[in-house]
Amino acid sequence: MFGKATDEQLVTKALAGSERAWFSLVRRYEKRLYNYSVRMTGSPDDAMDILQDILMSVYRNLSSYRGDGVFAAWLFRIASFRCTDCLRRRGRQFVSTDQVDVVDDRGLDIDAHIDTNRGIIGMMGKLPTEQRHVIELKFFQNFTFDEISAQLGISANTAKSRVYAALKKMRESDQPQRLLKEGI
Amino acid sequence: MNIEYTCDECKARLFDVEQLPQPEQRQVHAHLAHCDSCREDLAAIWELKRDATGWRAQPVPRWNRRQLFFEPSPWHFRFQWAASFASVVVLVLVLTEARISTIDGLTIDFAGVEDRFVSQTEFTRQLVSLQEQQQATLDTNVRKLTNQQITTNQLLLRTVLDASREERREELGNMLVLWEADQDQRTMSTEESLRYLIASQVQDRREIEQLSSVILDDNRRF
Repeated sequence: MFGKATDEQLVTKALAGSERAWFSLVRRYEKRLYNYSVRMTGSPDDAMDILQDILMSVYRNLSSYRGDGVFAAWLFRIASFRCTDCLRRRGRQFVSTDQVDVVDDRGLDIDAHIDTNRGIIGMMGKLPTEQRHVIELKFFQNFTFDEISAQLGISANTAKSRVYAALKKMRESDQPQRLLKEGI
Repeated sequence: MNIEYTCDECKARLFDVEQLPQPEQRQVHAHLAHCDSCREDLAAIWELKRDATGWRAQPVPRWNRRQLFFEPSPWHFRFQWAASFASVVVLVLVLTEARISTIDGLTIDFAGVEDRFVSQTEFTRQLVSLQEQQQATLDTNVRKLTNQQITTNQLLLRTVLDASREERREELGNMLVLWEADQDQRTMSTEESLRYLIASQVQDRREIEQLSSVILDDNRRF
């Protein structure tokens, strides 16, 4: 009775005109989407723009959500489109990891996590966009390959191939080993 | 008896190996026991999973959600259609090869300029010719203006002189009137003085005659 409202319930209320329901959905997903964008672009500033782009796009297309699947999967399908679109429009793939500030929830730098986050962003930055998408959705968003294939409009086998191509690229650049040596 | 997996079959199951049914897990492990390539892939997958869990979630910077979704857009966003409309108008003008001219001689031709291409030499010649024409027109206008100025000055001078002469005539007339009035006043004053003098003399004469008669009477008495 007093449980957390499901995404579908909030979507229904938002479609009925409830601002509160919409803001609940925004608050539920904005951090996840923001971090997704940070990893995809390497830039907090770009990530903020992309986050707003994604949410605005979702808000405008909310009525087209048929409720026949997981809301998060639908959300991240839009996020993938918007992210790819933004990256293409800006004519660049990634920024230097030196520009990435890593802060904790209280706004303080935490050295232990700076290297981790920067290492991950640096690792992602070495991948082509399509591989970065698959790695992001599989390892950071924990989607299944079926969900990833639906989101990106590719087959599950193609998604797996992209993951293995990305793993190979990462092995070649020795990034995971470096992270491992640092005790992460 | 289970048939051992190939590399492709094994790799397809490496991502969620721990969630596979026991028989499949055994087959995967059997393959991994002698396949370095698949073992490396599995190690890389585990490392990546560990990296992913090590990610420190970044807080979202403060932003105005209400403004983005519910507040009316600034006025200029409401007129974004104007840019599209202008584009369509320009497109129509180009497609119809329209030509717009103003009375000042400005012409915008949307039909292109190939047939009106003018060489550099021709352009220079036309420019020099135009410059000469403008100089000639300027000289003529300056001459005309100078003549007009001279005529205007002469007219002005004549008007001033006439006005001055008239003024002096009027002043002299006034002075004459004043002088005549002064003369009349003096004449009247002189006449009055003479009349007083004559009256005084007559009175004196009468008194002398009376005195003489008194003296004569006294002399007769003695």
